[in-house]
Amino acid sequence: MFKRVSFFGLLFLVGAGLGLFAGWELSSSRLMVIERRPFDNPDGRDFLKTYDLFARLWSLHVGSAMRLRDPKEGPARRREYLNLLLEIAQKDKGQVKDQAALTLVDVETGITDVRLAMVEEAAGNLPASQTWMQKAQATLKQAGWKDYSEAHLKKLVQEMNKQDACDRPCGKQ
Amino acid sequence: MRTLKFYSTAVVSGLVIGILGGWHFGGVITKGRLIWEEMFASAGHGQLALVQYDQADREHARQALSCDIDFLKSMTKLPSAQGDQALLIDMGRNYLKLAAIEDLAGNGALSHQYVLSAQESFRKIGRDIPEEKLNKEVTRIAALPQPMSPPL
Repeated sequence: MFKRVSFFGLLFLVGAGLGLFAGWELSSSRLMVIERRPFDNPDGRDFLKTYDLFARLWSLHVGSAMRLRDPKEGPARRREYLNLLLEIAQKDKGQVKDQAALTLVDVETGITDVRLAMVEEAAGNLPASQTWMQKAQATLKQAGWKDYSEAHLKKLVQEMNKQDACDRPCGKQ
Repeated sequence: MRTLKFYSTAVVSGLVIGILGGWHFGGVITKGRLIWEEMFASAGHGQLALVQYDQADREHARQALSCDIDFLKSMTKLPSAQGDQALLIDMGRNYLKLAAIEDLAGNGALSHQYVLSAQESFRKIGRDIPEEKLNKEVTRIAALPQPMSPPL
């Protein structure tokens, strides 16, 4: 009797597991189709690529700001998100066709370069810090920035880190 | 035969309960993920456009704001963004900044056009702001020192 009940329970769990997976996939796919339906044209597909890229870049931007503001995090962990962000920006930039949106991706790249320069400086790697800073300055100059001096960029990024890591209420200076 | 029926009942009942549970939780989690994605995309694009507006030259600032307006317009078509009034508020604010840029550049007619577009954006969320008040806001934005630091 016990054996039969155990086997019944096991089969029930197998069925439930398969059902859970199937139900989850069906429901999720349905919602994704509904979400993407208004963009089923070339312009819409371009928008979705830009949309996905900015969503991923910003989640990493906020994540890296939090790591930069956390005193317990070491340079290796701080570099991790920043390098990942640069990798994604570099890899997926080709999918974005709008020139102005590409400039915004460059701005994000430039800010990340400044962050990396500051991480390297804090770790005592001054040549690497200088390289990142020069890269940032070149990128931001290209993006039309009026002041791309090292002092200005550092000050700006420090303020952004505070804001993005939610150390300061949003919208308050 | 009886045993087979007994065990089939176990599988089928598990499957039905699993599908119902999966459908429910899959929907909830996916909806949450889509809203999360919408928040990150609009915040990221918007903040970077604002940084450009604050730090870049006039032409790049103009491009960034226009690009953000187009992006927000497309976002309003997303089912996950339905009812997100922040998109229209951001759009209205961007129009006001564009109006200030054009005002400073001496393009009065274009500046006025942007003020009207801002008014329309705010009207869509039920805020009927008089043109005079928006013009004052444009004058205030235009009088701000550039670049503003910090930009956010």
